[in-house]
This record gives sequence, C-alpha cells and structure tokens, in this order.
Amino acid sequence: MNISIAQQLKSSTKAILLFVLLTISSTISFAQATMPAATDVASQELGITFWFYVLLLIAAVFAFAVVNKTLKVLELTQELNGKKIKNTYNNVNGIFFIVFLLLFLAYVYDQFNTLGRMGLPESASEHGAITDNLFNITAIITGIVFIITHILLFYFSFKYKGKETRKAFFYSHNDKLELYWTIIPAIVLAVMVLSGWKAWTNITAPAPKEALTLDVTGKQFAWIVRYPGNDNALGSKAFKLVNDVNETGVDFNDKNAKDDLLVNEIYLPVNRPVKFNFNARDVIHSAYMPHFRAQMNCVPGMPTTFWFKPTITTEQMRLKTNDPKFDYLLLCAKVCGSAHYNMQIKIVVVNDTEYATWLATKKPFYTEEMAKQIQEAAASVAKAKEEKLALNTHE
Amino acid sequence: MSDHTTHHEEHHKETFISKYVFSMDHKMIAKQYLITGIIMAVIGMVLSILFRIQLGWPDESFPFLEKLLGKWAQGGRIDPAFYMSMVTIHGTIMVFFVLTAGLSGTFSNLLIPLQIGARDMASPFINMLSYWFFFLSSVIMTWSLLIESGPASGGWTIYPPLSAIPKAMPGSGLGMTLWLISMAIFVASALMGGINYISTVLNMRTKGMSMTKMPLTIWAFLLTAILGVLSFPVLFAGVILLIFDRGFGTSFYLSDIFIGGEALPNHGGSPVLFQHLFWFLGHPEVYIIIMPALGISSEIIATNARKPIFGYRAMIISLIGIAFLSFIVWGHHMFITGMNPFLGSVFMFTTLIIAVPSAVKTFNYLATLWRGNIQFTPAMLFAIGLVSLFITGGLTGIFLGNASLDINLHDTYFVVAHFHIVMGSAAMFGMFAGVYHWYPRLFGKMMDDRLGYFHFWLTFIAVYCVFFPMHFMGLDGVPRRYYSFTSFDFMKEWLAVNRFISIAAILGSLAQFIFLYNFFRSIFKGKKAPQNPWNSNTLEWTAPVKHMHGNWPGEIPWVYRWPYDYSKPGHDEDFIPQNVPLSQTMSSNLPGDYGTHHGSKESH
Repeated sequence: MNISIAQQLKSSTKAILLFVLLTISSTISFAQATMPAATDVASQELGITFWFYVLLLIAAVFAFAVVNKTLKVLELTQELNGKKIKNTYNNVNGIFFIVFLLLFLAYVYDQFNTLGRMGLPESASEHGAITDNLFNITAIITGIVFIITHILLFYFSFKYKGKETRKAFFYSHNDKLELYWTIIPAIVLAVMVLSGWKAWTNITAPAPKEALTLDVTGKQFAWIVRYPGNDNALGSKAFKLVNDVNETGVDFNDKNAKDDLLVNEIYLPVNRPVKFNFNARDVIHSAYMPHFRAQMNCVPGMPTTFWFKPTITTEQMRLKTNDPKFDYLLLCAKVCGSAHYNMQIKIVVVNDTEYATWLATKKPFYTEEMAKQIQEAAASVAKAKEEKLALNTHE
Repeated sequence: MSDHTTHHEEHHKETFISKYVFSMDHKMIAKQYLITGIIMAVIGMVLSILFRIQLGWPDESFPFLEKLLGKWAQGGRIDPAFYMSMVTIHGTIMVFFVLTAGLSGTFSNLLIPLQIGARDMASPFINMLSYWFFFLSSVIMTWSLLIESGPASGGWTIYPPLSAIPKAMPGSGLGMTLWLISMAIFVASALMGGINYISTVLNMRTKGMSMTKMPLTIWAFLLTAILGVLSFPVLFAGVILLIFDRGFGTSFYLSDIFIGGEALPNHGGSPVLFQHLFWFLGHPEVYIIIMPALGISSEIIATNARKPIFGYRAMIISLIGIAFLSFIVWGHHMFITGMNPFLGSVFMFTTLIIAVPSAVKTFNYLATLWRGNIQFTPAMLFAIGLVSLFITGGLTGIFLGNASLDINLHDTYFVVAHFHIVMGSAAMFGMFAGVYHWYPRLFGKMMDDRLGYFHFWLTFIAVYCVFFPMHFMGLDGVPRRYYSFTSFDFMKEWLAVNRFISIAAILGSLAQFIFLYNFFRSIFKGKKAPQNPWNSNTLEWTAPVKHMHGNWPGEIPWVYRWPYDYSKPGHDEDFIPQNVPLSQTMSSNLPGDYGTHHGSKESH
C-alpha cells in the first residue's frame, strides 16, 4: 500500500516530533517577543513584525493541517490493519503527558531562575523581613507539594494509559490513607496559620508612641502628603473644607494645623517607625509601598492606618541593587479611574541628620495669604450655593 | 410522572418556537445556555486579546484597533478609560455569564434530570424563565459595550464610590447603570435556576437513587445551587442599594466625598459595606464556578480511568466542607481595607482551612488515576488538565489567604495569576471536559477526537505560558488593572514578559477556534453518537440518543448500585450501569464485597 509514511514512523516518535514542533514554535515566538524589547525597535519596523506574525500564523495553520492529515492517514491505516485507533491515541497522549511533565518542570525552573530574580529587592522594612521569610517557607512547602503532585499526576497518566489487555484495579477507598491526607495538610496549614497570625498581629499592632505620623490623602490621580511639623501632631481636617487651595480640607482653626507641611516627596528617617494616616478624597485608593511590603486601602469617610519601620536608606538600597536610579515608591493599587496606572509619589529614606536638614528647608503651608485665599474660595462656594438655591426657588 | 407522559408525547405537536425558542425541555434549555455561554465567552476572549495587545505593545499604534473601536482607540491606541471598561466587562462576562450561567446552567440542566432519573426539572416553566432572564441580562451586558459613554469600568467588583459617582470615570455613568440592571436580572435568573435544581435533586430522584448513590456531578450541582440561592440575594441587595445611591441620593456607601470640584452631601455611608456584601456573594461565587467543574471532572476521571472514584464519601464530605466554609472566608478579599485586624485573623484561619478539603479532592483524583486503564478522550485530557491547574492555582491561594503575606500581594499580578489559573482556567477546562464528554447526549453526534487533542494541548500549554509568569510580576509589586507599565521604571523590565504573555494569549485564543469549528461542525456533520460512547455507568446514557420529552420511553430506569462500578472484579465488562440489578451480575457484585460504604441494602 502507498500509505507507508505513517507506518514507518512509530506513533510515539510522531508524538514527540509534534511536541518538539510545538515547543520550538513557542520558543521562537518568545525569542521574537523579547528581542524587540531589548533592542527598542523603531515604530516603522512595526509593519515587519506584524507581517512576521501573519506569516507565523499561516505557517502554524499549515503545519496544523499537515499534522492533522498525517494523523488521519494514520487512523485509516490502522483501521485497515484492524488495529484500534483508541489505543494509539492513548499511547500518544500518555507520552505527551510525560514529555509535558519534563518540559513543564524545566519551564517552571527556568521561570524561577529568570523571572524569579526580577522580583523586589530585600525588604526595606522591619516587618517585611519577617513576611519575606514566611513567604519563602510557604514557597518551599507549596513548591514541594506542587512538584510531587504534578509528577504523580502526569506519571500516572503516562503509566496507566489505556490498553485493551489491561483491566483497572478496583480500588474504591482506603479510610486510613484518606485520613492521613486530611490530617497532614491540616497540620501543615495550622502551622502556617499560626506563623501568619503572629506576623499579622505584630504588623497590625498599634504604632509605637515615638512614630512619625504622616497624613496621606489619595485623590484622582495624586497623593497629598502632610507632615505634622515640629509638634508631631497633625491638624484635623474635614472634607467640607476642601477647595482648590486647601486640597485636603485642613481645619486651620486647629492650632496643630498651623505648622503642618505639604511635600512632594516623602522623606523618612531610617530606623524610626512611621505611621501613615490614610484617607481618600473621592474614591477608594490603595497606598502600596512594595519595597516596604506595606499596603493599606485609602477609603473616603473611613480613616485607615499602617505603620512600619524603614531599615534601609535609599542610598544603601541603590548600592545593594546596583542601580543608581533606584527609588522607593508609593503607588496606587486599587482601581480608581482612567489614570490609575500612573499615580505615584517618591519615598526617600535618609539618616537622621539628612532628615533634619530636609525638614528645616520646608515651610509650613499655612500663610496669611493662604488664609485669605481660603476665605475667598469658601465665599465663592457659598455664593454658588445661594445662586443654586435661588434658581431652585424660581423654578 | 410515568407512562402518562409518554402517552401524552405522541399527541403533542411542537412548533418551531415551542421547540427551539421558548422550550421548556431541560435538554433544549441546556443547549441554549451552552450556546449563549459560548457566544459570551468569545466576546470575553476578544476583549482580553484587545487589552493584551495594549499590555504587550503599550507604545505602538495599531490602525486596525481604530477601525474596530472607533473613538476608543484614536490613532490606533486604546484609550485608558476603555481599557478599564474592557477589563471590567471581560471579568464580568467570564465570571458570571460564562462560568456561572454557561457552565452550571448547561450541565445542571442537562444532567440533573438525566442522571437522577427524572422526566424533567421540577418546574420546566421556571427553568425556561431562568434561561430567558439570563439571555436578557446577556443582551444588556453586551449592549453596554456599544453605548457612547462606554461600558462599566470600575473592575468587575464595581467598588463604590468609583462605581457610584458618574463623575468619577466615564464608565460610571450609563454603562454602570446597564451593568447593574443586567446583574439584577442575572441574579433573578440564577435564583430561578438554583431553586429548580435543588427541588429537582431533592424530590425527583428515581427509585433506588438514594443521596449516596448519586453521581458526584449531581452532588456538585446541588451544593452549587445551594450556594447560589443563599449568596446571590446578598449581591442583589448590594446592587439595589448601589442603584439607590446612584439614583436616589441615599448614602449607603458614600460619605465625605469631594469630587469634581464640589463636596457631595452624602454622609455616614461606608464603601467597605459594599465590599462585605459583594464578597459575601463573591467568594461563594468562585466555588459556584469551580464546584460544577470539580463534579464534572470527578465523573469523567472515574469513567475514563475505568475505576471507581477514589473515596466517594470523602469527595462528598469535602464538597460539603468547601460549600460550608466558602461562606465564612469572604473577608480574605478585604485584609487591607482597614477592617479590624482580629477579623482579619479569623478570615485567615477559615481561608487556610478550606485548603484541606481541596487537598483531599486532589489526592483522591490522583488515587483514582493510580492503576487505572486511562482512556484519553479529549474530555479526560481536559479533566486531567483541570487537576493540574487546580493544584497550581490552589497552592498560590495559600499565600494569598495568609493575611501577613497578602499585604504585599494584594491587587498585584500574583492575584491575577492565582484566580485565572484556579478559577478561570480550571473551571473553563471543566466546561470543555463536560462539552466533549456530554456532546453525544446534547446533540446526538460525536465531536472529532483529533481536533479535541489539538485543542487540549495547545490550550494547556497556552494557559501555563500566559498565567505562570504573572506570579513573578506580582512578586515584583506590579499592580493589576494598570493600563500600561511605562510610567514606572521598575515595571519597564516586564515589557518583554508582557509581550510573551500577549503572544501566548493570542495563540491560545486562536486554538479556541479549533474547538468552535469542531463544536459547530459536529452538530451537523458529526458521526452519529452510539447509545453509550464512553461505556459509562450513569443513567443519562440509558436514555435514547434522540431527544424526547420525558427523557425515557416507558418506565424510568430504577437504580440499584452506585455510579462507579468500573472494572469490578468478576464481571466480564469493565462497567456496570447503575440500572443493572445486583442479582444480574456475577456473585462478586453482591453488597458488602468492596467495603461498607456503598453496598446497597435493598435487593431487587
């Protein structure tokens, strides 16, 4: 007969060939994907990349059609020879699973090796070191479970692939075994709960008295940060006092407010606890400081707080990460509108003397002139309101 | 319901409308759910490809986008507001319309009556209404994509005040109103479906079908329906209150807000209240999504491994455990909302406990495969894929459930990776497995196996290529729902990875066309299905291939044994359907010969 190509290649060989084809094509596309980013292509080259992908697609469809036809030929051959195609596909898929297992483990390893190294630098806060440690322990435990269960899953799929001659082992339950794999995960999880709980209660405990207190207000799409000034006490605020001049609605009748500072960058003295009082003016934001492993939602109408102790100055971190441009950031992590993706403020951690110098350069934002502006703004708001009311009565 | 129904059948003349449109037959309703679900899935998939293009090539312009999206992609670059809309609608469609209604609606409708031996649902009319409410809400949700101000855009969780104040972003205007109306109708549909499923399972099982002889699919559907009935009304309440806040000046969720140059009069509300209401549904919701998939995979793995499901009783207990615990874990979505830290500790405890029944299920799947005689049908491949994804995604849940670790992972790509693997992909794999397995029951035709294999392997590889790298992005502190990562220096290094993910996502979605082709072609040109193509034990394969009202001509089959008598020693075939009396098989099949759990006490 003419259909001998199919017979010459064993089904398993074919399976491996197909798989290699798939892997190579995905690797190529990854290489293609990373290259332009590395070399920063000019936009006129876009046409080329586009056509490249179209060609790739056509090639893929073509390859798919060829493989599909080959398999159809194989099916017909087997049917003619009186063999059951079911067995062949059991073999092919069984082998695929074992090949997949190997490639999958290699892929996971590779990702940990490359992408895993792109993660955050070591924690710049005291509690962050503890949670990082906890993360690593959890990663090791879950990693072991991940690898063992996947090896079993795919190995069983390969080993026990269907054969006409075999009969499955009738094994409906084993109470002892089931008890073991209920209790062991329960114990492991209990340990994790306890260590997580301990870390959590420490993190969420009230801030120490000596902590520097800052007021952070989120608005679309910026952060407004207020320092307490020399008295380390923040003036109170109310949203009804907000206007263009007084963006967070600070109540200047409060004597604590008189020496408060507004800043464009957050300066923090190293090794001194800092307590953030969070609030939002319009919608929910989330103040996320990944380098300090700190995050707290900022909710309108509901003050929240988070405190931590920075342990590494920006300078030290620049040395550690070997990146002279490194900066700590506070960014928004809760969707808050169209420009959510760009809502950031820089954090600079410095030593005590640098901090004192920086603080000395800042002037309280409450001035006589501002008081006047605020009064004017308030008056115009009141007037607008009256006009609105007047209009209403005319209606 | 007995011979009377079949007698009636002969005289009943069906019009096109009563057969295909306003049908009250559960099998037709299942098909309607499935096809609507597939259409919604394609819409959700196209949206995801569009925003993946933006994430992979943030600085480049694609003229075809402008042709497609018009003013939302001027100059070929997607508008940030519309990016948010696409993310929102993608999430909403996939979570509610595809994986809740599409998955649960299809298979609960098809399998509950057929597998428990009932002629139809308890109330066929309410069943029909349930589908048409779902259809209406799908239409409204899809419609909202087309309105001028754009669809809802605050994320599928629609947290107020962002969603409550039209000034906050373009999508919070009419788009949000349509979203809320659509979801209110959706909830009504889900409730009508759920009540029907529960009453059917509890009341209409055939003779001999005790609760402990039900297939695990039915257990999963029953518990899913209970979850839905208990939790969807809470979302409904939340949605209604939000409608009041938006339209009638109430302050349930609003307080102390200054926006668009003016201070709003609202006072005393709490945005966090909405989150409690939302996640009281939202967390059971993810189990509403995954439990039917787990039930389906249990059934398919047992059938195709030609072995009883290992630990049938443990599987039921773990399902019940998951269902119960899912109601007291919602707070883990809110660790960093500023709620009382002690409450956080409690939710951390309950969340990590829920990993125990999940682990039991996984180990039982592995034990079922062990020493099996595995038949790799496309359905079986997807079921095995589901187990793999369930493990991978489930394990990352242990990180997120730990409050102290969640501080740094919350709302990052780690979360995106976690739930797309464990809830999105795993449940989608369950749905694919179900479609491949029960296609012969749905359409009386066989799907093409070969195309199924291609579909599975390409999809499986694509899923891991798309979602696995996202874990590492999350560990680098990259937040989710970002329009682009070019505003932050430390995120720029992820551009190459994002491009890889986008390419994998595009290739993976192209692979779905293999499925679509296979699905729609087989309806017309597929091989005719045999009576019991997978040599399965459950009752649905005893019903005639050609659909009929009342499912079985003549008497409903009686049930004598549990559904997992596969490869029973002493029997010449490797399966014994549930309706085969004990006395008709070999002596080794007498009660009590394989343990104490499932031995039937009644004999024929």
